[in-house]
Amino acid sequence: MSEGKITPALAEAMAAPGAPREHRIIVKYREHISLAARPLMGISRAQHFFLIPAAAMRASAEQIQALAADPAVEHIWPDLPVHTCLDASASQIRAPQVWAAGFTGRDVPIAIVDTGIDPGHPDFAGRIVAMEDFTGEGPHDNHGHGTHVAGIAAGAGNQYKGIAPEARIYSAKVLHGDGSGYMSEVMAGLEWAVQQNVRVINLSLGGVGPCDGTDALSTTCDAVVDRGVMVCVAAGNYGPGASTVGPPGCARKVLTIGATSKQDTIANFSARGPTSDGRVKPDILLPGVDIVSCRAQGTAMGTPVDMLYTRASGTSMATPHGTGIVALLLEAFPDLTPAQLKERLMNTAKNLGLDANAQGKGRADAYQAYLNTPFTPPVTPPPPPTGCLLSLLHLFMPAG
Amino acid sequence: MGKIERTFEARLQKQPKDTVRLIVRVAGDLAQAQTRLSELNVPVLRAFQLMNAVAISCPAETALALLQEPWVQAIEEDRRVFAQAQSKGEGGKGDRNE
Repeated sequence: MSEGKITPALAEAMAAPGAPREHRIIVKYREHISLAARPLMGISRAQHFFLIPAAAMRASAEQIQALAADPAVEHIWPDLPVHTCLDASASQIRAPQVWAAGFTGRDVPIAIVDTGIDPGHPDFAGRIVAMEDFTGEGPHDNHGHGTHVAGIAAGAGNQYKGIAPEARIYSAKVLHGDGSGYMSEVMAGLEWAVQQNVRVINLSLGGVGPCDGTDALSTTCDAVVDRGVMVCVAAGNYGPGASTVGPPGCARKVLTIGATSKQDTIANFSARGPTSDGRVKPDILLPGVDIVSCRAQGTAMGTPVDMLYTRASGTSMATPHGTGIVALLLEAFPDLTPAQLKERLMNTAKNLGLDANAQGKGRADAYQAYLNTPFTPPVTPPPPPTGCLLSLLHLFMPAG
Repeated sequence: MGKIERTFEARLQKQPKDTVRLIVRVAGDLAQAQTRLSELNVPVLRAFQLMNAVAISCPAETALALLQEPWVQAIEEDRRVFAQAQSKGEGGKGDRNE
């Protein structure tokens, strides 16, 4: 009788090791149940709603099970804190559902190998562990790209929230103020990141394709993966022509990421495979069009929204979505290897029906990767409130 | 495959006095390779443990001479890479991204 009433995210939160004694929940009752007849299982402090037959309360796992067994109860959701999301892309890839299951990338060490980072940005407060410079310009971000990328992967703002908002951040500045650098500088940043014992490295950069994965940078990326560190790499913005993925996106063992829009159409600029030795690339797609994220002080990359945020597009923006998902997965399943992480993200992606050398396996989905089951369209009733105002609205919208 | 890509070798031969940035893959001991490069007055910009290589900057003719060194496994251009963000929305292209 109680089957399916408790949302998967709540059930997982209840079953998680170290789960709290009480959970904040919203109980939806059947339409004909009067206020007085609403079962509460001994819970005295319930906030009843009238627009829909529901009540918010704190309940133990046992009380939740008892509520679910009651025929008067239709559904039980987790009552989540609300906030706006990272320009809706976090909701698009269902990261909030993974947060609801209790995983935010907490303390997972990630490296952003890029133009540096703005350490004064409030969305990274207390979580930047180390900054290193390989350009001679100093570790601060004098371009804006690295800060924007870091914000997508791990920003923790109230207004815009990254995919793994509790990850620990390591920043290697390998691209200069003009947004470019040499392969050797990136290789130096990769070696430094490995020495810091990070679990995942973000490379939102690349050269012009085609390539076969034997160049020095791609070879180094594969060597990093062999050391047990996941590497997420931008496919590049040289699409839509064939064989436009550039190094290190053509490396064999990395996760190469192209870009989609909010409507799950592939971005025109997203580079396409195959590699020059005939392998399929990219591996997956993720949102990379009009993404609002952190703006480094004194920079004007993208289209600034305000002092703290700016909007930008590119496979650079898609890639840190992948890095963030990997951080979430590594918190939930710390023993996953880079090969297993890559396989999981690919096998659970949403097939967009495009050519493999355009979409790889499709648009990756954080929650599906967490569940490790093939992608299925969300069923009605809609998934639990995702922690976003936008998704909370969906909760009360009619199904379909 | 030889020690160097043919098109890159031809470029070096065409402009022998030009200074080029290279990544040299080393067979054997990395420290010994750095010592040898120092003897040849070739400054080592960086050394890489993960793939046993060095980044150097030198005239193209020196790069060609290095191909004769037995410890040199391969020489390739230290190519430029770019941040993969565009300043505008979908649709832009170009070989640079800002």
